[in-house]
Amino acid sequence: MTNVALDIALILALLLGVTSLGTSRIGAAIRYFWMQAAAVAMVPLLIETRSGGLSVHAWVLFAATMVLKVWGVPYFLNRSVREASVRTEVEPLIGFGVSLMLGAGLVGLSFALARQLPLPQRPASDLLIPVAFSLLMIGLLLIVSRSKAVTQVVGYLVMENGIFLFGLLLIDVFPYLIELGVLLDLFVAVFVMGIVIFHINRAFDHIDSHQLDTLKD
Amino acid sequence: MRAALHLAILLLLPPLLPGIVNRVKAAFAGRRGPPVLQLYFDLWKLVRKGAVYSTATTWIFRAGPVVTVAALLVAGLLLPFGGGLPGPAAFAGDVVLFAYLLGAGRFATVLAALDTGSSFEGMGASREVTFAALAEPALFLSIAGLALARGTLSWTTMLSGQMPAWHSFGPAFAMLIGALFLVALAENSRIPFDDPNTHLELTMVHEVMVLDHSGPDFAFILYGASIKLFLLGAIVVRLALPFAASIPAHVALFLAGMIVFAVIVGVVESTFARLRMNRIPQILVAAGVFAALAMAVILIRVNG
Amino acid sequence: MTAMLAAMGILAAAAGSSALLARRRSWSLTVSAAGCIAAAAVAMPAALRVLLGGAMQTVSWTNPVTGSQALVLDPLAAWFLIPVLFISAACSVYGRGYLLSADGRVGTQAAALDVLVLSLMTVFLAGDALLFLAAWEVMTLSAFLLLTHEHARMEVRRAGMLYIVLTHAGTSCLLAMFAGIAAGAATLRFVAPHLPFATGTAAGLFALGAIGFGCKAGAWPLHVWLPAAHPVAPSHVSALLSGVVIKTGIYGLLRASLLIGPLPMACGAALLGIGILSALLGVLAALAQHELKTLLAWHSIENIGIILIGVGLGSMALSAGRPAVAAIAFAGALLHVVNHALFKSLLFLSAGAVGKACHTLQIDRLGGVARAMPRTALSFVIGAAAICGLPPLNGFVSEFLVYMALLAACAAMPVTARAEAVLAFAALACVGGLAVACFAKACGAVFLGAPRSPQAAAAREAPRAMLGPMWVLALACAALGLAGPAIAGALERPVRQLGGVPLTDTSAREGLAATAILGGVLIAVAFALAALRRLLLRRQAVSASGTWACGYPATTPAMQYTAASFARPLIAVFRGVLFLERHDTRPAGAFPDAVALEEHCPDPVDRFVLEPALHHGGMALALVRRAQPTRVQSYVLAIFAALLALLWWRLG
Repeated sequence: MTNVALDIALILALLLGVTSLGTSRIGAAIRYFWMQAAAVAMVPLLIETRSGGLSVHAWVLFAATMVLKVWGVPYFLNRSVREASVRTEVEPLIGFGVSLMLGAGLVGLSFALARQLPLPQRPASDLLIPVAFSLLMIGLLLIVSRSKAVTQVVGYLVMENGIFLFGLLLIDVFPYLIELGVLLDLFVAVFVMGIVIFHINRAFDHIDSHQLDTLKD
Repeated sequence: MRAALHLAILLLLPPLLPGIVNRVKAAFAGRRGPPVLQLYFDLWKLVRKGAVYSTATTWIFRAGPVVTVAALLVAGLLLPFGGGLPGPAAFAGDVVLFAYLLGAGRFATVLAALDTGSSFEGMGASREVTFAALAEPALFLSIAGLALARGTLSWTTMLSGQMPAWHSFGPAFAMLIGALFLVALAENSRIPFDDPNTHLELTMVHEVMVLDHSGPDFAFILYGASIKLFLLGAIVVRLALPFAASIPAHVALFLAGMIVFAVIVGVVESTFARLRMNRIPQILVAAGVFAALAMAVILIRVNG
Repeated sequence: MTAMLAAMGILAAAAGSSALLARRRSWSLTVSAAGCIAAAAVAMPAALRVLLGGAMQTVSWTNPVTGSQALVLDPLAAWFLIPVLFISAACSVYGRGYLLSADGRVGTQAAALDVLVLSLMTVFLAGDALLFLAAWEVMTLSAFLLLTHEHARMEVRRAGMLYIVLTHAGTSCLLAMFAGIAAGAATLRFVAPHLPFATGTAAGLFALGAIGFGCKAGAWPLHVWLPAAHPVAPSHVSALLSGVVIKTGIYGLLRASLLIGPLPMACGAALLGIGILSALLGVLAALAQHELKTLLAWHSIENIGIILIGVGLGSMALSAGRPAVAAIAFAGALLHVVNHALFKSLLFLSAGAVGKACHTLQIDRLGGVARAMPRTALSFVIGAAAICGLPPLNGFVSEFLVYMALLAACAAMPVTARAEAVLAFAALACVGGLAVACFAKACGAVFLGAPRSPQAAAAREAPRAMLGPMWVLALACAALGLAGPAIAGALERPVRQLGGVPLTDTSAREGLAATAILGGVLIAVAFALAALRRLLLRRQAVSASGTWACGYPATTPAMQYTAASFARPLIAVFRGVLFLERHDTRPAGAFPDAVALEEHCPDPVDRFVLEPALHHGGMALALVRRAQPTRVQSYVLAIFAALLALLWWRLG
C-alpha cells in the first residue's frame, strides 16, 4: 500500500515538473512548484512508514519542507511577481512545445542513466533515483530556456527538489546534515533572488535577465 | 701568562704601527718625520683634554668611539699573535665573529658620524660603508679558503703551523695574502683607497667621519684605528710567516713581521697615488677575484 | 594540547567579542589585545614543554566527509608557535595604542587580528592537509582585512589586490601539491607515504610547494606583493606580516619536505640559489628605497633569502647523506626564523612610532628624530644592529650558524655543492656588508642629524602603550643574542625532526657558547670603556657648540647628506641589477629655472615581468572577452552540458 503511495507521490512530482515546462504563465509555474514540493515532502514520511515507525526526524523534515517550500518560498515569489508586475513568460529562448519534448527526452535519459548509477544502498523505491535525476534535468532546462528571472528561480527550485530526493537516499547515513543544509541554502537563495529581482525591476523597469548582459565587464 | 702577554701586546703595541708607517713615509720624502711614538704622545694629550659636542648630537655620538674600541678589542682576543700565543678566546667559528665585530665597530663609527648632521661626515660615512660592503666578499672568501685548506674554523689553528699547507697550497696562499693585504688597506682607509694625511679633501673616507670628535673620544678613535690596522696586519703577517719555533722566538718573529708589515704599508703609501673614487670598487672586486681564484685552487687540491 | 585548544578558544572568543564591541573603540581593541596576551600566556608554556622534551601531542577526530583529521603539536610546530604567540601579543598591545591615537573604525582590525593569530596557530598545528589549507586561507583573508585598513587610499587597494591574487596563485600550487602527497600517502593526514615517491615525482611536488610557499614567504622572484603590501598596512600589522605571517611559507616548505620524503639534490640546490638571489637582490633593493617601511619590507625578502640558504643547504646535505651538516643548516634557518621575527617586528613598530609622530616615513623628509624620540631611536638602533647580524645581538647567532653550516658544507659535500656553498658564503658576506650600509642610511637619515622638515622637527616621543611592546622585543633580541647554549638545547628536537640527527657538531655548539660569552665580554668592555670616558671627562670642560665639520658653519639642515646620496655610491656599483631610473630637468640658459632630479629603482620583476604580463594579458584577454557569452542561460547551459557529458562518460 505505502509502496503504491510512494510511487504515486514520486510520479506526481515528476508530472508536475514536466507540466511546468509547458506553461507560459508564471503564476501557474509557481503553483506547480509548490504542489510538487508538497509531493516531495511526503516522500520521507512514506519511506519511513514503509519500514515501520515514523521518526521525529522525518516529521521535522516534513514540517520544514511544508513551511519553507510550500508556503514560504511561493509567498516570496508571488510577492516579487506582483511587485515586478509580470504575469507571463513572453518570449522564452526555447518554445514551450519544444521544451516539453526536450523535457520528455531528458526524463527518458534520466531513467536510462539512473540504472547505471552505483549506489551505496538500495533506494526505497526504484523510481526514486530516476525521478530525482529527471527533476534535476528539468530544473536546468527551465533555467536555460526561460528569459524571465522569476521563471529561472522556479527552475532552480525544481532542481533543488531533485537534489532533495537524492538526499533521501542517504537519510540513514547523514540524518539531518544534507536536508537542513539544502533547505537553508534554498531559503537564503530565494530571499536573495527576491531582493535582486526587485532591484533589477527598479533599476531597469522590467525583470528580463537579458539586461544583466550589460554588466559583463 | 700567555693570555696576559697576548693582552699586553693587543693593548699596548698597536699605536706603534702608524708611527712606523709615518717614519717610512718621511724617509721616502727625505724628511726626518715625527717620532715613532708620536701616536702615544697624541693619545696621552687627548685623554687629558675636555670635549666639545655638537648641539646636533645625541647619545649615539658619544657611544660611537666606545663601542668601536670595545668591538675591536674583543676581536683582538680571537687572533693569534704568534704560534705560542693563541687567541685567548679562540673557538671554532671565531673567523665569523671577528668579521662581524669589525662590522659592529664600523656601524657605531658611521652612526656617530651621521649624528653630527654634517654633509662632510655623511659623505665619509657613505664611502666607509660602501667600501666595507665591497671588501666583505674578499675577506670572507679568504676566510673560507683558509678554512678549507686547513680544515679548521678558528684563526688560531688556521694561522699556525701551516708550513705543510704552504707546500700544497702555496700559490693559493700567496693570492690570499694579496687579497687580505688589500682588504687591510681598504678597511683602514690607507693609500691607495684613502689618504689618511689629507683633511678637507673630497676623497676622504675614515678621517672625515671623525672630524667632530674631540678629547678622550678622539683618543678612542685614534686608538681604535691603530688596533684595526694591527689586527688586519696580524692576519697577513701570520699567514705569511708559517714558521714554528719556541715561544719567545715566535713572539719576536711575529713582532718583526708586524714591523715589516708597517714598513710595507709605508712604502705603498709613498709610492702609490690615491685612486680615483670610482676606481676603488674595481680594486676591491679584484681582491675578491684573487680570493675566489685561491678558493678554486684550494677546492681542487682538497678534492684531489 | 588542552592548552592549545584553550588558547584557540580564547582567541575565537576575543575575536567575536571585539567584533561585537566594534562601536566602543577602546573596549574592542582592549578585548582583542587581551585575547592575544591570554592565548600567548596559555599556549606558550605548553609549546615550550614540547620543545624541551615533552611528548608530542595529538588530537584527532574522524569526519565522515573528509576522513581523519588532527591537530598535532610536534617540536617543529612548537618552534614556530612560540614567536607567533609572543610577537602577536606584543603587536596587539602596540596596535591598541596605535589605532586609538587615530580616528576611524577599529572593529574589523581588532577582530581580524585575533582571527589571524588563531589561523596562524591552526596552520602550525594542523595535522592534515584539509585543515592546513582551510587555516591557510583564513590566514590569507584575515591578513588581507588587516592590511587594507586604510582602503580609501589607492595604493592600499592595489597592494591588497596584488597580495590576494599572488597568494591565491600560490595556494593553487599548494592544492596540487597536497593532492599529490595525499595520493601517495592514501590519506590527507600528514604522514609519510607508504612508498617513497619516485625522484621525478618528489621533485615535481617539491617544486609546486616551493612556488606556493615561496609566494607566501616572499622569495625572489615571487616577492612582488611584499614590498607593496607591507608598507601600507598599520605598523603593527606590517610587523606581524613581515615578522610572522611570511614565516608560514618557511614552515610549509619544511613540513612539505618532511612529507615528500627524500629529495634529489637539485631541489636543495635550487632553494639555495633562490636564497642567494633573494638575499642579495632584497638588500640591494632596500638600499635604493626612499620610504622607511618599504625599505624594511625589502629587508624581509633579504632575510627570507638567508633562511632559504639554510633550508636549501640542509636539504642538499640530507640528499648527500651528511645529516650532521644538515643539522647545523636547519638550526641556523630555524633560529633565523625566530630572530627575524623579533627584530623585524621591533623595526616595524619603531618605524610606526616615527610615522605616527612625524606623519611621514619618507626618509629624506625626516632627520634628527632621536632628539625628540630617544627611546624609539634606541629600539630602532637595537633592531638595526640585530638585523645586520652584529654581535652581541640575536641576528648574529643565527647568521653564525648559517656560516658554520656553509663552511662545513665546503669541507664535506660533493664538488658542485661545495662550489655553491662557497658562492653562498661570499654572497652572505656581501649581504652583511650591504645590510650595514642600508641600516646606517636608515638610522642616520631618520634619527640623526638635524630635522629636514617641520614635521620631523615637531616629533614627540611615542606613548608608553607603544613603547612597552618595543622594549619587550628589544630585550628579547638582546637576550637571545646572549643565550647561545640555551638556544642549542631548544633547537635540539626540531632539528632532529628535520634532519634526523640533533645538533651533534661540537664546533657549532661550542661556537654558540663562545659567542654568548664573548657577547657578554663585549658589553662589559663597552661599559668599562664608557666608565673610563666618563672618568676622563669628569674634571674637564665639556662644552656644546654647532657641528664643526672643518669649520664650515653656515650649514642648513637641507645641506645634510641625504639618504639618497648616502646610498648612491653602492647603487652606482650595482646599477646593473638595480635598473636605476632617472628623471631630471637640467639647468638651461644663463638664468636657469628650478631644476629637479629624481631617481628610482623600480622592482625589476614588477616592472619588466608583471606589468607587461598584465598589460599584454589584458589585451589578449580582451579578444576572449569579446567571445564571452552574454546570457546567464548560456552559462547554465554549459554547466548542463558538462554534467550530461560527465554522466554519459561515467554511466553511459
